[in-house]
Amino acid sequence: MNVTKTTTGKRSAPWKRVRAWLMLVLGLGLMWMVAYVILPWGQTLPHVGPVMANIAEANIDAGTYWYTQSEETARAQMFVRNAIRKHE
Amino acid sequence: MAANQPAGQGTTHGGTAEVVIDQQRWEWSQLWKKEDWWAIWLGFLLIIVGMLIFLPRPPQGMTESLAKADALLQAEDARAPFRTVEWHKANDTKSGLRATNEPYAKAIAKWLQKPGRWSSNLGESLYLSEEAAAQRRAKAEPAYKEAQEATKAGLSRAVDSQALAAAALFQDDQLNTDAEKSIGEWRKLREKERGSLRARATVQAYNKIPYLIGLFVFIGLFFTIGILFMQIDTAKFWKGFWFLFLIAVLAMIIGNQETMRRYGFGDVLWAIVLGMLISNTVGAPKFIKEALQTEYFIKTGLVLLGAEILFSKIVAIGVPGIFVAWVVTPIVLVTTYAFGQRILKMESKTLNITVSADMCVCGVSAAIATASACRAKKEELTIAVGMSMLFTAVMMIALPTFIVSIGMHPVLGGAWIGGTIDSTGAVVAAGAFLGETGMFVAATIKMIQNVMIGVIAFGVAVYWCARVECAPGQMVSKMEIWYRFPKFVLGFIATSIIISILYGAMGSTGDVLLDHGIIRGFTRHAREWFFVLAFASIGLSSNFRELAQHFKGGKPVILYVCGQSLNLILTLAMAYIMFFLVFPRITAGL
Repeated sequence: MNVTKTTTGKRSAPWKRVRAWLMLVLGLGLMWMVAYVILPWGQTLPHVGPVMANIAEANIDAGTYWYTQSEETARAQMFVRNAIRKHE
Repeated sequence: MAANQPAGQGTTHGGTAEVVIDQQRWEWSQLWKKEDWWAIWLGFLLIIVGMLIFLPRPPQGMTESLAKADALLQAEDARAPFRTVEWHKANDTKSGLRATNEPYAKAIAKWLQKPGRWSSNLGESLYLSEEAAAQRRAKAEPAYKEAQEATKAGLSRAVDSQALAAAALFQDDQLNTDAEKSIGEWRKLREKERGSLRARATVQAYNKIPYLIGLFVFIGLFFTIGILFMQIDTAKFWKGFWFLFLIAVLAMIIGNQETMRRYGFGDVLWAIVLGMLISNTVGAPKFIKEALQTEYFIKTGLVLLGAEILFSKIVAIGVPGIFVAWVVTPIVLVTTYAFGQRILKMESKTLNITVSADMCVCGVSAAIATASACRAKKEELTIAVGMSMLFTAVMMIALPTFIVSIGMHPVLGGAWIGGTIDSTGAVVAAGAFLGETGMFVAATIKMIQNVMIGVIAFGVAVYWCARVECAPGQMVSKMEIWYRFPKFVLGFIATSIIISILYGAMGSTGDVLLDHGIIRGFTRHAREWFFVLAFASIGLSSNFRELAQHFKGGKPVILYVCGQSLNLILTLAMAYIMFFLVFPRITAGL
């Protein structure tokens, strides 16, 4: 009988393996649905659409989590620093 | 995180809390046997290599160009009551002076880059043929050329309007207003031209696979240096590392899908999701066990993150920015943490502080730094990161929509967004909805708030060693604090202080060679990879059931929502007081 070792050290029967692989496929399918069905549908909602269109047009990566990953923060810093110099 | 305690440290589980009651000792061998120290040595090594590459190779004529631009900015400030065309051009020149634009830096970036963007064909994240690139360029070119023409026409109108105002010696208010309006329109057209249109019209063919293979070998060898000394089986590490790297690459591919990018669901989220999906269905393969060095990856990444915490940036928008980002944030952090302990009765203090910091400081990065500083469990970090990303996506849409609908001033709206939305990308996206000024203010406030994570991580590490990890009533000596202190935090703070001093001493050249050289051109790419590897490790060793236990009663969500509500109120109030009552001149200048 084919058995597979995992990090938990459990040995599972074939039908359990099939179920596990089906769950993995289902999970990947859900991810596909999020990317291609749910989130695109969200962009058609009245308040979401304009914000998303603006992000797309300005070519912004909303997924960056730190300022050095964002080109816009560099431009912002330079502009703000030069702009407020004479008003401080 | 909690899985790895320092040497000699024993813990006793008393009730729900883990308390350290025994003494530890210092051993010099920790310097080469512990991952905390290896994180420091390897982080330093990369920063030194970055310095050796970038500092001796400044862009040609850098000093002269900076001096010329600064002189022009000053002259234009004195000449006109508004920002002239020449002022904007000088600002653009300064902004465009970057070591990252040099050929050697572009070559380095090519080797460290992540998979590319794609929308429907996943393969395009790794490979784009010349034919496909040419097709894309041809499709985008008419619109891009049209935008270029519009920008030229806009500039011409701006120059003409400014000339009329200048002819009246800038004394005619109406002519000044017209000129300012024309210049603003030119800048908007320029922004439009430089957005997605230019990206599509200038796309080049690429094959990222050889570079990713090279990077896999480089990162593997890099971490092997420490692995050899820490007595981890090197062969077993490599046996599993390719799998971990593959998951990290897949996470980056998913995070770079167009729709995911727009919503802000980045690679760290997908690294956790993919890892958890595998480990909770078919199970993580046993051969990857030695490669799941979460602590080692995350701490090395944090030491590199320290180099990106440049303290002089906190004055980027003057005193109002300091008040919005550096006064409100600690108040919200402490209040939220106290609320979690006293009102919500959170079972885990580490989960409480991790969620509180990630909610009020800067999302994912704050969660990573705080969780590592207080040795939170990996599931707690997962909860904090997941919640932050979901709430950030909601706020990125809701907040700018509300601000625009009530007609709030873009400076106030930008400051509000910058101080409350967690991640930088989402702040920029939300700020851009308010226009250029709103986006610039939002991004600058967020950057100032980012810098705060250095202080918070250090404070949390000290507080945890001195107060939290003690039996009730126990007095902790200074040496005991030193024994318990997470040593990588020292590297994190040291890199921040050293690079901050260097950045301050270099003046304008610091932006060119440090910020847009060593940091954005080298260490931050490495840091991004290390964090994604760390989150893939977390996912692959996490269990849905354990995660659900930490979510008991929905307390983390309640904590986040209540803390964020307070954050929204205090930030708005502080931004209004600072930008409109105390420093209205700064607001007028923006």
